Amino acid sequence: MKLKKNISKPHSPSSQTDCVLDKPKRSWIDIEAQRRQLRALEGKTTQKAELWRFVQRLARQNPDSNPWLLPFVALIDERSADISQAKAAIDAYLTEAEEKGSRGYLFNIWCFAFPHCRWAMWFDLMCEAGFYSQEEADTLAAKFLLIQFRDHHTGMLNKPFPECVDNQHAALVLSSYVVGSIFAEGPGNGNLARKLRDEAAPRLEAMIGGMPNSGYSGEGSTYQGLIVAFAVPFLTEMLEDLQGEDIFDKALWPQGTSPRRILEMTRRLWMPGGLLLPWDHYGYQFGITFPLAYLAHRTGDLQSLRLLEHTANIARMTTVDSGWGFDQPVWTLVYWPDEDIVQDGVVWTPWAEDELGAVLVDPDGENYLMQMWDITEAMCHRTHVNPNSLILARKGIPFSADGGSAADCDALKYEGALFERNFGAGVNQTLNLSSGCGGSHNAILVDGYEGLRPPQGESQGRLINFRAEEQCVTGDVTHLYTLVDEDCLCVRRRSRLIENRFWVVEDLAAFSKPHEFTSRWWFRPDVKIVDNGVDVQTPEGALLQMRCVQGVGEASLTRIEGFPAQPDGCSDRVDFQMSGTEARWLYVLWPTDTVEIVRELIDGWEATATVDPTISYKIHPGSPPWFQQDVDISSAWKFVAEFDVKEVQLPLLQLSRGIDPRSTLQLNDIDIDLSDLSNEKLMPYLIDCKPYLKGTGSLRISLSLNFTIGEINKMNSFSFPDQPFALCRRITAPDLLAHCSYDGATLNVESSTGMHYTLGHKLLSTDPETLKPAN
Amino acid sequence: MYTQTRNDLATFLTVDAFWDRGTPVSELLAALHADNWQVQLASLAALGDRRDVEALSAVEALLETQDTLGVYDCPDEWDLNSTSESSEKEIWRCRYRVKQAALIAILRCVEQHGPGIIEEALLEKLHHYAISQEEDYPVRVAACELLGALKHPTSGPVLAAASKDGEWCTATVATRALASKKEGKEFL
Repeated sequence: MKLKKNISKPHSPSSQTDCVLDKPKRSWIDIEAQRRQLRALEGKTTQKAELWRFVQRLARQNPDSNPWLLPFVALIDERSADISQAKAAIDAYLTEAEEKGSRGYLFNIWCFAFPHCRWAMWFDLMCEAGFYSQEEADTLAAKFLLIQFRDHHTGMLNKPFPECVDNQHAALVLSSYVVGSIFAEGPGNGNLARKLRDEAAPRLEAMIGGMPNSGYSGEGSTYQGLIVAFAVPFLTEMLEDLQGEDIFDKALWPQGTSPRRILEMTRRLWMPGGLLLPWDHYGYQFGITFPLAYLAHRTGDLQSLRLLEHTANIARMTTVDSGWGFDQPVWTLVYWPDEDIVQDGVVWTPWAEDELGAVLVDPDGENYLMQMWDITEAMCHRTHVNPNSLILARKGIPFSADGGSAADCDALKYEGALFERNFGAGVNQTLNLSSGCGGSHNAILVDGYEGLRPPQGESQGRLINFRAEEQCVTGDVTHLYTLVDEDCLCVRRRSRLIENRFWVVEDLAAFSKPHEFTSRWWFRPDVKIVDNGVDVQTPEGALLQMRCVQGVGEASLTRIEGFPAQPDGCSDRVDFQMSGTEARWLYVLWPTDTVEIVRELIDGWEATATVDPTISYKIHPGSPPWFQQDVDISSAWKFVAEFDVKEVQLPLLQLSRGIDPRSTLQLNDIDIDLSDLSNEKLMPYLIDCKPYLKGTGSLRISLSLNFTIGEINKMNSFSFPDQPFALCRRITAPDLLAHCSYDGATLNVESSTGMHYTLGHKLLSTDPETLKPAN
Repeated sequence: MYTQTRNDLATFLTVDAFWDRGTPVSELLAALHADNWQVQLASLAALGDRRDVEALSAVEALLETQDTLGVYDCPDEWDLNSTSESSEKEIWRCRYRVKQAALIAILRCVEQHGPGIIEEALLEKLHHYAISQEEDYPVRVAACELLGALKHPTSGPVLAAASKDGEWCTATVATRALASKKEGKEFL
């Protein structure tokens, strides 16, 4: 069997560009170059070096649980044991794949198509490396092809082309194109393979070029980050082979979107601290690294390199089924540029996209605001109705609650929010769309209509003003509201970040008839009502003081259990209400810290692996042991340390994010209940140590953790910490908001530490002139 | 109903040869009766690529057979476990796929030879498929696609109904089909 050599020209595509495949196709990975680069990492302490050592150790020591890592390790190191394990992984994959058949498989076939093509790529590389005899290769290639034809190619043909541009179609197109290309010269006469390839080829370009020009697929951070952006590098490489030119910045058919736009938007989904924007059903989550690595590879993008080095949680690599597989650590390694440690921290900049939203943020990323108005649809399951909704965060700790409900939550049942669809005979689905409706977002509601959603796919709004240097944005979402209330004249929100310290948010709703308006906010717990507003105190110690200086500031507060599912499993809903033809609110939102780190607890720990407790190591629990030393990989570890905390009057112990709630912890021999920790393990966790000190001034910590050592579902009981534990304390005199007022033209704001801010603020106008296009 | 699909090299070489120029249509037509539905699937795909109108009656006959086979008679389980009957798994593997391939094969013929090759009975079947909630949605999609190519005046109300299908692919293809026109005649 010849692989990918002199591939003949496929059938003419329907896209705007010609295909050029009359040349030898380059290999998926230049293995020789990879070997040189990875060997050069020896002795280095960069994140990339750590990741490579992690991948090698996992693959060698726990091969049965890490099949996705095995081919790459075998290809790089060429050890016979590795090669055997990698070949066994290919066999196991194919055996499982050909047996599949169920509702979950058939009606989610794209989830299996993308992994199928990547397994075929690994198999192809292993064939090129000489791991297989011709007969073995032909037999396995036949399986890859028949499964592709039977399951995935038929799935691709279901998707309307060119209308359908999403993660599902991209996965199916890529799969048929890649598998068809690999085997286009055999086994057999390559007929079936070329059919697969040539029927997919015309669709390839639209999977990138058909995306909105913003580069955002509209499917939320989850699918943009974990699937779309995972596929874009492969789509780009395939298209470049097909078209014979660099297309990274090319405006592709049919909408003119380039790969760069999609990958840069994917990078923009990262919030300071490493969580992605929670604007879809899956809420807050960690970002994945492969799209960043590929963007850095193509452009040298410094921000991506910094995120990879400083922000990404490398420890959780094997728990992320991105692209519906577990090989993203490997693809990250393949494309992560060989740079020395990026010393500088991540530098954040404001941005805006016309049909999407805008971010206001200071360079250090301490105070982050995202205002959104992205395109939504009637089935607002993944794409939420969030007209001008806000996400607010302080030093990576979000104040805003957004996402989907917990599986057992029925707290949100909005009028008209049930959606039914029929996939096939006896395969129906009824969705409660409430968590995607307008009522579940920081938005204006009219006459209490929480089930706000458009009758069909609609743009929610547009940018009407954005000044990056002034950190100011205004979004207009009138169109969405007119779909419900024809008398709607104007619904707008302006947000400002003042001197990188606090936010001012103004809402305006103007209708020709009287209505009851609600200014709705969703916060993480706990919220407390105060005069003219609320205080939001997160479990991590971030405080947001929200004060209404224009409009009705009397708030009502409701605890909603089960929404959103993470990070807290609940939220506090805050409503401000006004009646009339026009409602206007002007808020001052003052974020601050109430907790500070005294010192990181890196030294002084004794760690033992359960498999051999006779050996102890000087390893702390803030990252997997094998990231810190060359130790054997095993899941269960115990950490013990004793710290003198007399220097702190009311000490707090901060556990790293990534700690599983089923871990066991004792402080001074007293069991600590960690069940409040989220299964998603998104946030650090503070424990008040005072009850356990008993006047001793000494804190003895005993902690047992199970680390991830294989490809697992993230909900399983494993930990992936990536930050040192820390001794913290309450700040005795935090920088609080002391006073704020508005006189119709000027805002006056004073802090408890004596800072005064006087700023002009002209209220939003309903004048149509202001609806001109944004700057 | 079906024997389990085989993904061995011999099966692959058999179906790969369907696209060889020297393979006669009669061989492909014979393969429509194979006990391995995956071979049927490949035969339909190859016949569609040949756009041979003489295959039309055999393809239509296969559709008739599919309608009586009970291709949806399997338990509605998200993930069939290892103890599930292999025949149940096989039904799940196949479900809509032969029907979809048959409809696409007919579509290829229509694209080549025009709508005049289609009989009234098949048109009625397509109308049924396009809106039937008893069919998997890929059958509805393929039927709407074919109706869009046929542009028959009686299909307008059917496509209008399909354009309101809660399943997005069906609704999208039906909407596109409905928007198409031919020789001044419109669906509605």
